[in-house]
Amino acid sequence: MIVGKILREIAGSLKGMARELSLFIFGMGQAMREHSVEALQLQYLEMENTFLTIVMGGLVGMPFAPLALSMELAPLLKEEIAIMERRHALGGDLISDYFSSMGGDW
Amino acid sequence: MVPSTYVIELIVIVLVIYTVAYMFYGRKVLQEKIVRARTNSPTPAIEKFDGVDYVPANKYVLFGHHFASIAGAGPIVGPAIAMAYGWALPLLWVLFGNVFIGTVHDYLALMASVRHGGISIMSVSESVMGRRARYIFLAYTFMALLLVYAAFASIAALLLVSSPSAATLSILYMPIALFMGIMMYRIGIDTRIATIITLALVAGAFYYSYYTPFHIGPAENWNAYHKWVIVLGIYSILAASLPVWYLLQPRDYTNSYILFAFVGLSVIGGLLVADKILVGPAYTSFAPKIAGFANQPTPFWPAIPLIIACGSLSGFHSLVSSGTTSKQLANELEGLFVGYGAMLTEGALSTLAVIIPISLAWDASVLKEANIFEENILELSPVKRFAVGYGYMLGVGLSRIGIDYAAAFKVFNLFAVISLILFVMTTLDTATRLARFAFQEMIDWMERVSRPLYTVLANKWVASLIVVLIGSAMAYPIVDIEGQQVAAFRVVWPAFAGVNQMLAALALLTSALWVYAVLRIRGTYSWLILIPAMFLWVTVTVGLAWWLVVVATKLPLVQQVGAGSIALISLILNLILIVLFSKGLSRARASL
Repeated sequence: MIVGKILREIAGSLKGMARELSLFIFGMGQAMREHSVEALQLQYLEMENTFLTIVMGGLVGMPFAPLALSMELAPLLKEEIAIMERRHALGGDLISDYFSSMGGDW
Repeated sequence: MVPSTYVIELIVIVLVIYTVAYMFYGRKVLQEKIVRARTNSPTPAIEKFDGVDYVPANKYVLFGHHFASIAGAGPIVGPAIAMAYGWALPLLWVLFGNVFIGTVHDYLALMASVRHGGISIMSVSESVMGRRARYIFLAYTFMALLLVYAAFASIAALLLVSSPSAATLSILYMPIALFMGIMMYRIGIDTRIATIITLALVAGAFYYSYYTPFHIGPAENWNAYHKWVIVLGIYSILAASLPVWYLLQPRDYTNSYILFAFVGLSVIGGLLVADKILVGPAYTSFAPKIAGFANQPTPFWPAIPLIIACGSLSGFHSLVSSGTTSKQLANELEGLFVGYGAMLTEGALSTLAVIIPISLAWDASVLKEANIFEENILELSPVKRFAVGYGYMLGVGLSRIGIDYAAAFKVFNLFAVISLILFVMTTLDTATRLARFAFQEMIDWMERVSRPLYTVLANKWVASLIVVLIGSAMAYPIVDIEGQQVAAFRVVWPAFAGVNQMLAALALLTSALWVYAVLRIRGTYSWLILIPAMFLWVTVTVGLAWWLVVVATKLPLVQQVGAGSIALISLILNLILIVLFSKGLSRARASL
């Protein structure tokens, strides 16, 4: 009885360890894939910033995009405006993001 | 007589210390008593979720991201130089530095950022020590990056000269990476298929390189070395200025496979030779003469942080921790696994891939089998020590499962060199890119003074050129040390490691102040952060001052002006920093 209980406990913890290990290996694999596109994502964000500057540049004194275009795009920019507002707050604080995304390897 | 030490004993000691440190010091003290991490406390990834910048990630995935960002060439070169002390003292510093400083530094930087909504450690330092601390942080980062460039360009050039086969692969590797980018982003081929094609091409290139060495020029008078420094400079400017999808992203992707193969093979190799005895001495001297220190007796304290940087602790990690990592942490309790665990893994990598292999391949008999006729491994350059040791460990290990020793040794010796070159080249263009950003941020005040000048200096090509010119000027000259000519990285490395460790001291002091002033931790637990922070600050300050007085004065003029002046400026900033820290501490006390 006691031996059986101990064996079951050992089997349970071994199973738990195996599950954690497989999660770790799969996680590392996913990290490799995601890490590889992180720098690309950063550049995409920069392009998004440029886009936002084009359509909302009037707010910071840049010449307006054609009014019809701005009006047409405005409803689609709700999310982006929220993101841009947040990024504005972190505007001078990007160097750590660059280190994280590009990797230092040192 | 000193008893023999088996590899397995070292592995067990490291594992036990790391497990105890993680379970008790990390979890019980740092996580529960100091940071008081809670599972129900929303992290920025949850609170500010936007699906773009703030996204909760699986802890294993985040660990992988974080580890891939901090591991590379750094933890290899430093311990290889430190083997001049024998294996015990470097191991001691890796373990001690890891457990009490490096992991604490990485974890607290991560958690301070998490508690401040995901801002960088630079901004945390501004909030606890004032705006000047932020500029000091930025200046350290820029100067350390210049020294990184100089040291790593010199290492890469030396490796490319000493291993012409690796040079062939490095040349073939870049078009393969470019081709992968085009396959994925221009033609639109599925990532998995593109990966298989790319890895097959890399394997083919490896095979081709093995039989087809590439010589850029005659090795006499360091001719080839100089040519490689110039070529690497041009490469760095181009690679750092091209859009990332061209080269950086596909190259990093392919490199990540090599990094994990490198780590995996280190573990397998270590286990296969577990019953071997370390033939290298545990202890040689407390102050051996080291070529990179102008052959001066180099005392373990305070010089060790000028030698082993990243394997033990690294200031750059605070930036990585407080960058995207802190914005993706899903649960405060997972911070320990990511921040603390990744740093422990890096320390383990230094032990398994560098300290153990070099100690195994110490003997002249081993070197003779590799057609190297020096008396012991210390007569080789540090990077060659690592490659020979790594090749030997895997050669012996794999020969036990039926693979020919000589062939395995040659292949894994080359694999070690190639891995190191690829990590170093990644670091070169990343450092150029990051230094450019830091430079542009540092000169933003100039826009108000002279807009035309600012426009020229902030231009990406000009900013990259400035970084590469300063770095190459330090990497190019050959250093004559008592008649022995050595590559520049050996004298630049201590300055790089020193400035990097000062950055770490700054981040740790910031964290200590954050713990004291913001978390309001008092008594023994606050001392557990403050003492390592002060110990590191004192050690690095004394170490750099010693290096400036004893070593830098014996270096060629270009190194004195380059690395010497950077180290001197760092020391001055360091004194300002401690004043800011004291003021911050006084303010925190007064506000109670």
